[in-house]
Amino acid sequence: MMKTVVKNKKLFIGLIMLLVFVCLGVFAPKIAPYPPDKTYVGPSLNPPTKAFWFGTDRLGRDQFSRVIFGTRVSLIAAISVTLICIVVGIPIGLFSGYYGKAIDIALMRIVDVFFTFPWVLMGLLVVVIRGQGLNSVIIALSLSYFPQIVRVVRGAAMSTKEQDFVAAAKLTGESDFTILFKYILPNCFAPLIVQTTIIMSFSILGEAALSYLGYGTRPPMSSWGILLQQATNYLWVAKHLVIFPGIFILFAVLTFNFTGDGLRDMFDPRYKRIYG
Amino acid sequence: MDRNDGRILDLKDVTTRFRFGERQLIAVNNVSMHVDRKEIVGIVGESGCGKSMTAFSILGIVPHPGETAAGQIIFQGKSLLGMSRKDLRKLRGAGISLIYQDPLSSLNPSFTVYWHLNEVLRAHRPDLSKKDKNHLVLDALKRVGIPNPEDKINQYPHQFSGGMRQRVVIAMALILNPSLIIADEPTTALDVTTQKEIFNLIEKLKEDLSLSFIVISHDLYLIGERCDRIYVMYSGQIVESGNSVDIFERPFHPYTVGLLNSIPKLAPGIGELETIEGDVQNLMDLPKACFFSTRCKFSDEVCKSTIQSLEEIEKGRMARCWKVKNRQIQQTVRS
Amino acid sequence: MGKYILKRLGYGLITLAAISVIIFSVIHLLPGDPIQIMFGKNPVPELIEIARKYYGLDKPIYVQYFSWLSKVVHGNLGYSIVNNLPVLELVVPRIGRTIMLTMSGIVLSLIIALPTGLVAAAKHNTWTDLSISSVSLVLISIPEFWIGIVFMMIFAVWLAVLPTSGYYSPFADLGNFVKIMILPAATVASVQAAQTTRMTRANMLEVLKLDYITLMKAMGIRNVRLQLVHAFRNALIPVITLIGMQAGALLGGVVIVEKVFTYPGLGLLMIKSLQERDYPVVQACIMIYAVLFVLINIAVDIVYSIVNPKIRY
Repeated sequence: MMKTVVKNKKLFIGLIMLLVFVCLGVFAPKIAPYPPDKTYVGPSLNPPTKAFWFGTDRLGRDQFSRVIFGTRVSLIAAISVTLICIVVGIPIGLFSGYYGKAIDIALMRIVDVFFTFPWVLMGLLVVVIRGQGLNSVIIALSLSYFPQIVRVVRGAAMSTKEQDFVAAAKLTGESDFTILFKYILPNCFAPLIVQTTIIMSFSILGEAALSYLGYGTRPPMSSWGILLQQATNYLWVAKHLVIFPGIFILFAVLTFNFTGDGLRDMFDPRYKRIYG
Repeated sequence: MDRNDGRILDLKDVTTRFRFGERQLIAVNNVSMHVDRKEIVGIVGESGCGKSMTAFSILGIVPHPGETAAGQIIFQGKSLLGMSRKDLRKLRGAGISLIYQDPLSSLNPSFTVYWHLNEVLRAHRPDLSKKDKNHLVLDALKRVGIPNPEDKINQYPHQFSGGMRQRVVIAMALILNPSLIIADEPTTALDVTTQKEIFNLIEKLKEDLSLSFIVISHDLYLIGERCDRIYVMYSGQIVESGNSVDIFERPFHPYTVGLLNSIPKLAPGIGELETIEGDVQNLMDLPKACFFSTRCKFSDEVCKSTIQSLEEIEKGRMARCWKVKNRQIQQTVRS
Repeated sequence: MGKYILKRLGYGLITLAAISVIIFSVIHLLPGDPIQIMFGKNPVPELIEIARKYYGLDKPIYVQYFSWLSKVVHGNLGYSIVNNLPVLELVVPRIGRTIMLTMSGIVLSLIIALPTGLVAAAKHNTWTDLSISSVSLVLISIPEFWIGIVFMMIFAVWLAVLPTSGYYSPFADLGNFVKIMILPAATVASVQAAQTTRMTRANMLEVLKLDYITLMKAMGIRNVRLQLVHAFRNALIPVITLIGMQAGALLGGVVIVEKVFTYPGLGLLMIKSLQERDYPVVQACIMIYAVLFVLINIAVDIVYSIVNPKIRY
């Protein structure tokens, strides 16, 4: 198993990046030289120097520390959204795919509305109801992305339910519940894992955007989105503020993209057809 | 196109290989064959034995990273391998055409029947007027036996049956009056009745238009029934060749015998069907021996250590087996 | 063909109806008296009266819904609390601007993406392909608004060739209008273009392996024509579906871009109103977005049916 992982370059790089990313989040207090919300640890709006690697913002806060702590918010968002999507999406997908017909049509129509509804507007709606905050963002993103899980699980369920071992299980009188979770679900595992990485990368982008718009975390808490929002006010005088959060977002998302791509390659090896 | 009597196509020691870094895969291994006027020549063998790749080599459309590295391909007196790409392209479709296996996938689903035929005309005869093109299109469709072509030309492939689609492909192949048509598994995806119709059409076209055909198939029975001469291929090499009647009555190479013995129609109701043990040779790591030796029931140390060459056993009959050459094996098909 | 369009329009109306129910319910999901919440900070008695009449909160809920729906259809979208204007007046001028931005974004992305995808597929396994693929990958991994900010930084601040915000009507001042539109449209287009490029490239590679392409090649069709005419038509079909699926994300992206560039469209209005708790406006904006969204989907479906003959026959 390890050998397959190492051979697959994309997956290998992705997992290493993932490790780095998680460490940054978990060990943030140890890595960041200053608390992220401590003001005036340095001069206001200074470009990067040896003392302050990413520079400082208007209130003299160390950007490096703020960006590092921002990792935590993104991690929390990514994991929470993914977990909710899985918990909500799997049962719906299994039911819809397994029972089919009327249940399937009805469920999928509803799920489709969520799928196609713009996530930004979803964020807006949730914030209207619940108010601003990371939790609202997480709920909004989950509502927007759980349909992806539903689709994947439903597809796998529909193809698995035709197979012989399922018929055998039905004949021996196993309950539907057992069949769904013991037999069908394991077959969804591979595409599910890949889709999870996709949702994680969407969550990071989505949380950043919603925070940028002012719907997510409140300052002085530092999410990358908030950092960028604050940076736009000082574009003329402090260009450095824009760059670093953006780069971190890029790396975080690439991490999940690489990992997802690598996993997809691992689960579905395509032999290069010689004869074209 | 000019039609000289005699040899239409001549392949001499053609080798097509694919290079992957240090390793190479030899798909067409020193193949020599010829096609004369008004002949139907068959190439038969298992999947992956190089038959399609031979066709591609003739047409010059071997996919990357393959290349036809050695040998000669002479078509009506001209050498194809030495030709410029532009000239070779002009020959494709106009001098030599291709019919492909699965009519379902041979036609572009987004375009009409007329468009398909028009594309072929457009590529080679841009000088033709619209009226002339229409005439040629309808003519070609009539020739392949499609009733009421005027109604059909504006329809899409998915509106036709498999047999009709294959006829459209054949129409594309002959619209510019080629001398040679290569048919790669032309009826594999069709039912038996349609198969018969298509082959009857091929024979009719051969007579009416003085066409030559190369038919490629894995179905030896079909090839035997419909072809004048046969080449049996295995792992990129020709292992036996000759007149189809002779090959059926007196096959030489053990592989050919194996193929014949595994055809149900030839041995009705007598015991079990024979199968050929073992797997197809990996074309990447070719041994310095007879390629078939791992599966041949007659093979011995000599077979497994010497490369076999194609030898003439009788007039017009070649086989690649020293034991056959030395009359050490005499085989007949069970009857 | 006409029948298909009608069918699609009908389905679109049903979707709109479903969305209208959702939007209507949102107000009622707020805890407490909705009117109280709306006017929490600004209890102006006259406006409260107007709101109560508009929402008819004393009547049963389905009556409320239908009376609200009929008002909406007739153009009465309520009254803005903050701006003291009928919502309709606030909203109408901005609809056109948002549509303009969305359309230019889509068109620009197609102009960039389709040729790029074609080239990448044609030059498969070369440096050209690799660089195009890498750039696309990076573009879909960064937030749209960051691209906008960076554009702004480069062109408006550093090079100072384009303005950062403001608006000029195309009818009044075309030159400045174009200047205003370039950066926002480019931002909207960028992520969309990256995704479309990837999909076009992938589809072209798939299609070029298919039998019907090989057959035409064997018949002597030129390579360039094979790619541009024979293969492209078929590779395009899933791309159109993709655009349809992304209509939602696209509209959301436009909202963000409007914020970044302070482009006075619907999105900006929506954000501002949300901050100011001007709920009637928010509700109206979402409704309009929903209509736009359904319209885009219908348009995509119609284009799809034109390109894919299997649907028509």
